[in-house]
Amino acid sequence: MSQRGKSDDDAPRPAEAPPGGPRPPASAEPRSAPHDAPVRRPLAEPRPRSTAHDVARPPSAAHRSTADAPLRPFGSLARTSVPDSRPSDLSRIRMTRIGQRIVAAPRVPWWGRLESRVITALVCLGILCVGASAYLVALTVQYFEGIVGSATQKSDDAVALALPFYDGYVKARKETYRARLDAMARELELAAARGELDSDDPAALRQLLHELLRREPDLVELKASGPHSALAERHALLPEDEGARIWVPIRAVPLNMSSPTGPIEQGGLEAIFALDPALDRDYQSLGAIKRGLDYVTVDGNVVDRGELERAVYRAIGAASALVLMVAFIAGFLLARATTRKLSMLSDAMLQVAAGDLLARVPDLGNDELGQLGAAFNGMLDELASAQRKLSYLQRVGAWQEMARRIAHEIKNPLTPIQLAAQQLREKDPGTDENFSRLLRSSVEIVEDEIESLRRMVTSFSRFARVPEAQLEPTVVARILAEFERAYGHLTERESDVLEVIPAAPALVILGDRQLLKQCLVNLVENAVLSQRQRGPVHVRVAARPAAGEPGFVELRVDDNGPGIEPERRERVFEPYESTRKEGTGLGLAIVKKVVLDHNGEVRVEDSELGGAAVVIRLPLHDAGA
Amino acid sequence: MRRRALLLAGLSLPLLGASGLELLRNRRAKFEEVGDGVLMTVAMPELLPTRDDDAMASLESAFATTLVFEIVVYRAGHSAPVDQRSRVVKIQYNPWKERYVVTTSDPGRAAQVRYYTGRDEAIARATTLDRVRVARVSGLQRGADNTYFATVVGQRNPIDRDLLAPQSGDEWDRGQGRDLSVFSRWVGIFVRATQSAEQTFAIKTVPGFYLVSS
Repeated sequence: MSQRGKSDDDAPRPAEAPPGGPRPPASAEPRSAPHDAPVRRPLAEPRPRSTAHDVARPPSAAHRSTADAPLRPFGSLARTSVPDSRPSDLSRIRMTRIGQRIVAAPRVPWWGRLESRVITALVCLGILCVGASAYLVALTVQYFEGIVGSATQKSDDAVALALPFYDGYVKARKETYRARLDAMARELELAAARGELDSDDPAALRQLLHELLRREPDLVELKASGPHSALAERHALLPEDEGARIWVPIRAVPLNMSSPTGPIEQGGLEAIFALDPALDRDYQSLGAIKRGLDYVTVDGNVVDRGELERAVYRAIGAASALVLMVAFIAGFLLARATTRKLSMLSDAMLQVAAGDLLARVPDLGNDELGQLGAAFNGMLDELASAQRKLSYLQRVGAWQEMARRIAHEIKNPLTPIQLAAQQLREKDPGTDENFSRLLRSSVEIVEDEIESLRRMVTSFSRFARVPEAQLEPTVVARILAEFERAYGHLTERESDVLEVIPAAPALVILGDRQLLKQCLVNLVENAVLSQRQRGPVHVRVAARPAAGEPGFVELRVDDNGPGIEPERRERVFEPYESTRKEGTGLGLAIVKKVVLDHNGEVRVEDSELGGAAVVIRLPLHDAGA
Repeated sequence: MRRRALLLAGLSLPLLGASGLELLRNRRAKFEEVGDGVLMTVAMPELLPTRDDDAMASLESAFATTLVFEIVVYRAGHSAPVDQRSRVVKIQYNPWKERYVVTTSDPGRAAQVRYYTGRDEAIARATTLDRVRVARVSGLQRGADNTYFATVVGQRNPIDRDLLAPQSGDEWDRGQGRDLSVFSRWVGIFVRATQSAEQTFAIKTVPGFYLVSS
């Protein structure tokens, strides 16, 4: 334990390692810890594009405040006991956050996913609705089928009741015909009794028959059978075959004609009556209608009502299936469109939880999920920015500590060295001119180097003593005015120009006036030093609202110097990063530290004056907030 | 590909079932060569069975019963018909004359009317194709190698569509009626058994016949 404690104290933590110095390997964390030990191991190795992992990360603010665990990079939030032996296979891993912990578990199967559940729910709802509708329709069909069936049955019954009437009509009509024939036979018998007929005169009987035929308009034929048969026919009536009449033969009735002189005829009288077939045709129509009661036409086809009912059921079933299929497809597409967004969100969150802070949610549209994705991306941007800021400040802090120690260690022996050198020069006896010259030269060299070291120590000390910013409402115009008044001499040559453009008095920030002035001094000094050897210096200091970003102000220092290559524009803010031989590389580092302490940003871009422009972007102070 | 074939087969089964294919029963028939005609005699009592109470009640109620025979002669092994004829037989009880009237009509010939006092006798006459000319000898080839058979599709009381209640009209051509028309067509797709007659019975003469070589 003692060795470990010593190791912890002596070994620089990743966040404190100076750039370029020995970086602890990725396997520096103890891998031999037990699987269920509280030591959190990375679930997934950072992806190559995740350059944010290449540097040591500061602890997340949220976790720093809540977790008492030692500081660790942000990506280590996703570290816990991992049951899977292949931690880098994210497709098989699902992470769930429980309180402050993120628990890794095998990814749920397809039937357990939200998309499947939503689709299943929609399908179940569709089946329920369509099934209920189909059942109601089936009930309706059955109900009306019952009514129609009842009506049909009544019609059938009515026809059945009408049948005896026709039968009775036929019988009654035939009885009537028989009665009429009987009456005609009696008339003939009376005529014979009156002596109007003679047994030797068959023509008289035929005459009587014709008279009867003329008297009865529906009589087609009248025939007396016996020894003196006679026949009377009506040819005017159309024959039966043409359908105009129905001939009804009436069997012979007894005919006993007797004259006063004796019997004339002992036989019978037959007749054929002609019947109007209209009633018979109607009756046949009734039969045809009766046969058609059970049939209907459907789309040109004749079907019985039972088949029609079954066809309706099948049609409703097929229509329901079609509706269900359409509902299923629509629900599937809808659910997929919705859950796909959720899946994208989930995937992005899983990647972030695994440490990939560069992961982003794709554009999900303008709905709530889209807004959520945009907010998540914004949060990640803020997080990444804060992480970079904290990382930078940690590095700067480490450099400040080192500078303080170096300054302390170097500054102390400088004075004795200088005094010793002076004593050597003063104690020179002057007896040997060559020795004296060598001594003076050596002492001058020593004193020059001491002075150089002293300047460096001063720079180190100044860098190490950059105070914490004391933020208060500050008018930007006042900063510029004070800077111009106090540091206008930075350009000493007449050809040099320091142009300070007054700022609008309404621009107020929460800032430390002295530190911001120091920033401007550093930037202007940098600009002057970079251009002084090349020619006249032109530096412009200005402040104006940030274009397109309400709520921010930009302090710009433009120069006409050689400019900064785009690939170096981020690196120039690193401590001790300088291209000038006499530069310490601390000025811009101090500027960036101060700006970050002001919750601002600093960047380098091309200047209108031909050189570089350092732009400090600071949030405006909202008096009402 | 296999799934698609199975799907198509599954979808076509109901359509095949709805096509209403009739089964042909084998029936022995008698064929005669008389002059230029081949006469066939075959009985189809199933068309109007006396045990069919409804049919008998209808017949005795003096409603006319119409039997329609479609006779087609095929050459064995060929699907194209050699000759085809039709015959319409009407049987009706005449209550005025108290007898059964059997009227036989062949296209192009005068109707033959026969009267029967007995019902069964009239039915037997009506359901028997007695020496019906089914083909012309000149249209057939002689020899045992040329076998022919006939199919007879008999229908009892073919349904007269004019007597059925119309399901379409002007009111079906607009507004909600158009939807009803579409629904009617939709239901029509799922009708499996169409009805063209009160009773349908079809036979195929077995064995076939051939014209002996002269």
